[in-house]
This record gives sequence, structure tokens and C-alpha cells, in this order.
Amino acid sequence: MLLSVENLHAQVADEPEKAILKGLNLNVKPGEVHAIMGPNGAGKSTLSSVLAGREDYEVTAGTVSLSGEDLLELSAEERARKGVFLAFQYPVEIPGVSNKLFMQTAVNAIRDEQGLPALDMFDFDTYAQSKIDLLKMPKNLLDRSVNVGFSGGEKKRNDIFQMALLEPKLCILDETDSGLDIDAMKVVANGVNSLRSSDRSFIVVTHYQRLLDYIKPDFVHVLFDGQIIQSGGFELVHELEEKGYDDLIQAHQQQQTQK
Amino acid sequence: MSSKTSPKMSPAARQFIDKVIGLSTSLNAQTEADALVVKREAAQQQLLSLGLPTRKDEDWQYTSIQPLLQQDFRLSETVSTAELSLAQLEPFLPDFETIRLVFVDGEFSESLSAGFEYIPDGLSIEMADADAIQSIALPETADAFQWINELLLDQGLTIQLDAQIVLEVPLHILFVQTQSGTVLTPRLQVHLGEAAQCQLLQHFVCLADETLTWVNGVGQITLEAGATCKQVVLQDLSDSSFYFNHQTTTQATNSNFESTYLALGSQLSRHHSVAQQQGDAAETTQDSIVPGRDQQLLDTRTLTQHHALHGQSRQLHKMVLGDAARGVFAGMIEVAKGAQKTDGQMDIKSLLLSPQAKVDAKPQLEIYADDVKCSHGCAAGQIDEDQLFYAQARGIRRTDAMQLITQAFLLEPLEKFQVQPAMQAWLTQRVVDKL
Repeated sequence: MLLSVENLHAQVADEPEKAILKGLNLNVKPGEVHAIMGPNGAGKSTLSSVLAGREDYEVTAGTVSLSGEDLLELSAEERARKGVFLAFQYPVEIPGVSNKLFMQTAVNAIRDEQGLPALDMFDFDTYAQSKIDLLKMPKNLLDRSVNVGFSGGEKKRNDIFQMALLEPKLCILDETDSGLDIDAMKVVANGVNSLRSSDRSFIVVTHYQRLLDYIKPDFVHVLFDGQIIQSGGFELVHELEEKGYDDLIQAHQQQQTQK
Repeated sequence: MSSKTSPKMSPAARQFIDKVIGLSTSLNAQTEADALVVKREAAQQQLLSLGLPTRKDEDWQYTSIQPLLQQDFRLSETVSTAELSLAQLEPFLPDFETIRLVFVDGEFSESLSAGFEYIPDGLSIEMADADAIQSIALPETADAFQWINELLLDQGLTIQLDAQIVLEVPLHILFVQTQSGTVLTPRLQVHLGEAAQCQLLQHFVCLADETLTWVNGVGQITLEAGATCKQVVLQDLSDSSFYFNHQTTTQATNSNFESTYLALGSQLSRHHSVAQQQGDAAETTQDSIVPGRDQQLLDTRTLTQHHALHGQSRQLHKMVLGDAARGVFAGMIEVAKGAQKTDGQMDIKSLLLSPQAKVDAKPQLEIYADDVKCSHGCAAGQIDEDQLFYAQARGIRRTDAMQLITQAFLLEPLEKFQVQPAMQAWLTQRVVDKL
């Protein structure tokens, strides 16, 4: 098992009365693509943030392990070094820091973790070019400040490019498709598809079925009120598209009251 | 010493003034030029009637000069500058071509200076010219430190660039202080004729980290019509030193003055840049980069006076303060009644890296014209946690991420400073070394 989430409970760090994840279970094997769907406020972004190690959230119960190692014990940077990658819903702008320097620092941090020598400026350029070609990204992507002045689509594209550079084991896409037009969504989907491999897994968190039509996940989970209330294959996407979440939610709520 | 006319002063301030006057008197005894002696004596009267500023004075509200008053300064002894080797200066020398003027403890050293082959016809550089020194009159509004500069005035540097002359190679004016406990009172006068262009790099250093010095400078830069001056003031004194500098730039029509002050050293510093736009369509940039640490108090002030039409002024002041460092900024954009279509902008942005660090910023506008565009902005805060998390989520260590973000924040004024890449890179490295 690559990722194993058991009975995960989490809340916003300063608001103990407001539990967001309430006993979430999820298992991801190498090479699998899991989609997590659900209505607003279900806890989708919280799940992404908790897995990536954002300190705004506090885990109150449960375990998360990555290849058998306790992920919750690790800082965000250590998780990234172990191969966890979060594509942000809103990639952050860092004025004045060039994409090139930023990503060279990141790639070398991860190479350091793997016991590989650091790439110098020239080796990094060559390596980055190969990824730019692979993803058909604009050539000048590296010369600009991190996400500054990028359109929404360009920011997401930059995150996918970073994902390609870091070659993670587990890629978490946190509503990467929100606010994207159809062309940008295709770029994201193409990026994910070209990075798919037998030892790389994906968790795609999304509102919409459209991105999933391009990515075709192996498993689809419906998250509601901090729990996964339904899991299935790709066909679940289209069921949800036709019927919405209401039936599932009602059935879940009935079950809860019967308990 | 007679100090009857002086206002109420603390014993420390009175003692300090008496010592400075004592230094002036000893200087007078060695001076042949009567006019210079008269000038110093007049300055003495000014200083006595003004006294030294205290934190009760509005302009000194955030800046206490107490640490300066506790010191006992003397004049530099004349040393043979040949004792200093070029190798010792190596850390201070840029890796690009310059016309280099080196002053050791205030004394010009020809052997350490270089690049004279780049001096074109139409550039004159004069040292220790009493007439030249006298040609600058301090304004009535001069503060105590300007009067002290005049009181101890001994050597001036006058640079004159004739009309149309474009100086391709930057002029590097390097003041190296080697004697601890001494005061340096440089007086710089720069005159750019019509459409003349030059780059000035004024650089203040101490030879050793232990050298404690007090630089107390006054400068006057004049730009005739269409002239362009790019100025860097690189204050890189030892951490125990003191730095006070007051410069006034007057600008004629279509002239462009672009200046960046880098406050890299000293325990207490105050850099004051006044720009006066007297001709139409002049452009002024007064930026600063201030990385503070330990107990440093770094004070930057600007006064930008728009007296003519279509003037433009830009200011970007960046401070990064760690430990118990204090940053002070005060800036004023004045737009006179007739100065229509003025476009002025002043931004002060500070990053506080520690709970003990503090910044006081006072941006001000005074506008008497009705058709102008002026604004000021002021922001102080900590490093953006979202930026840190974004970097950490890419595997970058938190400390490395802080370094990346801090550097980028601080260097913004240099990024947009239009000089040759080698100069930009060298200046950048000077700043990065301090972080």
C-alpha cells in the first residue's frame, strides 16, 4: 500500500468545536488514480491540506501512512521529500523569486533526500527543458517569478510542471480544475496522463466530472460531512452527474440516524 | 568653550558639542585658507544655537543619538596611504570596470585609485579645493549634523561633468576607514552639465570589523537639463560604526536622478536624501534597501520637492528587520502650487523577522497643486505563511524558503535598477552576504 488513511479525524487548528474530517478511510496502491468528489464543505480541501502537512489543521484521531511510514509525524517539507506532491487549488505567488531558482532549489532538496548529487544551473536547465517539452509548456516558464502575473490557467499549468520536475510518488490535485477553461483543463489532464506510471499514484480532488472524463480515474469516492460515503469505479462519475449527490446524502443521513 | 547661546541640552550633548568644537579649533590651527576658518566658525555658531537633536524633536522622534554621544571621536591622523595594499581592498572592489577614487581615512590615495584611463575630456575631479568646498552653502534649515560636517570641513570632492559628456564607466568613490575612533566628514559636490550622464557608486567601508568610525557626510548633486545620474550609496561600515549623510539633489528640466541607498552596516545610521525638481518633466527615484539585524537602528529619510510641471517621482523602500533591529523611515513628497501634473509615488514595505524587531514609518504628502497624482503606501508584516507552505510543499526547507523569500523581497529595488548586469549582480551579492 502506498497511502493508507485510517479513521482520520481533523479540524481547523484554532477551532476545536469544528471537526471537518470525521473518520475518513482511504487506501491507495501504487499506480492507482483515485478521484474524490463531493459537495462544498464536505472536507475535500481539508483532506488535501492534512495529507500535505499544512499546519492550519490539526489531526485529532486516526493514522496516515506512506509506504508504511507515519506521515503525520513529518513536516510538510519532509513529506514532499518523501514523494508527496500537492497541486494547489490556488498556487501561491512569490514575487521576485524566479521559477527557475525556486524549482532548482526544490529539485535539489528532493535529490538530496534520495542521496543524489545536486544539479547545477546547466544540468537543471537541460532537465527542466525535457519536462517542458514533455508537457508542451511555454519555453519562458522558468524565467518568470513564481506564479506572479500568471493567469489562473498558467498557475495550474506551472504546478503540473513542478509535479513533473519533482517526480513524486503520490500526487494530490486539490481542485486543480477550479476556474479553468476547457483548454487549460486539457493541459492539466494531459499533464497528469503523461505522468501516470505503475509506481505513481494520484488523488484528484474535484467538484466536476469534466476533468475526470479526461483523466479516467480507477476509483471514485464521494466525500460528505468528513467521511467517504460511497466508493466505486469510473461509472460513479456519470451516476453522480445524472442524479447529483442528494440521493447519496439522504441515504447516508438515514443510516446515521438509524445508528 | 562658550556655549551661552545654546539651548537646553543634556550634559552628554553639551560635552559632545564641546569636543567637536575642540576638533574644529585644532583643525583651524592647521588651516591656511582664512575663508575656510571663517566658514567653520560660522558653523560653530549655528551648531551652538541649534544644539543636538533629542527624541523630543519631531524629526528625531524614533532615532536616539545617545549611542553616538557616548563615543569620543578624534580626527584621523595623516598616514601614509602606501601602508595599505591593494590586496587589503580586494573585498570592496567590484568585478566590473570603474573609475576608482579611494580615500583612506579621508585622504585621497592615488596609488590605490585606478581606472583613470576611462576619464574622458569633460570630466574633472578635484580634491581638497577650498574654493570648491566653499561654493556649497548649507541652507538655513540645515540640521546639527550638517553643521558638524561644515565645522570639520577639511577636504571636499568636486566632480564636474561637462554638457553632453556620457561617462560609460561607473565612478566608484570608496571611503576606507582604518583608524578606530575617528570621524570622517566628506563633502561631495557633483555637477552634471546638460545631457551629461554618469553612474556614481559612493561606498563607505571599514578596513576591519573592529574599526569604529563615524561618517558624517554632506552631498550636493546638480543635474542640468536632460542630465541623468544613477547613484548608489553603499553604506557598509562596521557594525559598531555611525553613519549620517545628508544629500541634496537639484534637477533641471527633463533630468533624471535615480538613486538607491543600501544600509548594510553601522549600529546607527541616518541617510537623508532631498530631491528638488526645479525644471519641468524631471524624474526622480529614491529607493532604499535596509537589512537590519542585532541592535541596529537604521533611519532613512527622503524629501521630494516638486516645483515644476509634469514631474515624476518614485520611491520604493524595503526593510527586512531581524533580531532587535529597528528601521525608521520618514518621507515627504511636496508638490508646490504650480507643479501641475506631478506624478509622485512612495512605497515603504517592511518584513519583520522577529518579535523584537520594529519599524516606524512616516510617509507624508503635502500638495498645493490641484491636478496631480500622488500616493503613498506603507506595509509591514511577517513572511507570508502561504508562501512558506507553498515552498515547503515542494520540499524546500523552511529556513531556505525564508531566505529565498526574504532576499527576493529586499532586492526588488535593485531588480529594477537599470545598470549593467555585472554591477547589479555585485550589488546584489553585497546585500545577500548580509542576510
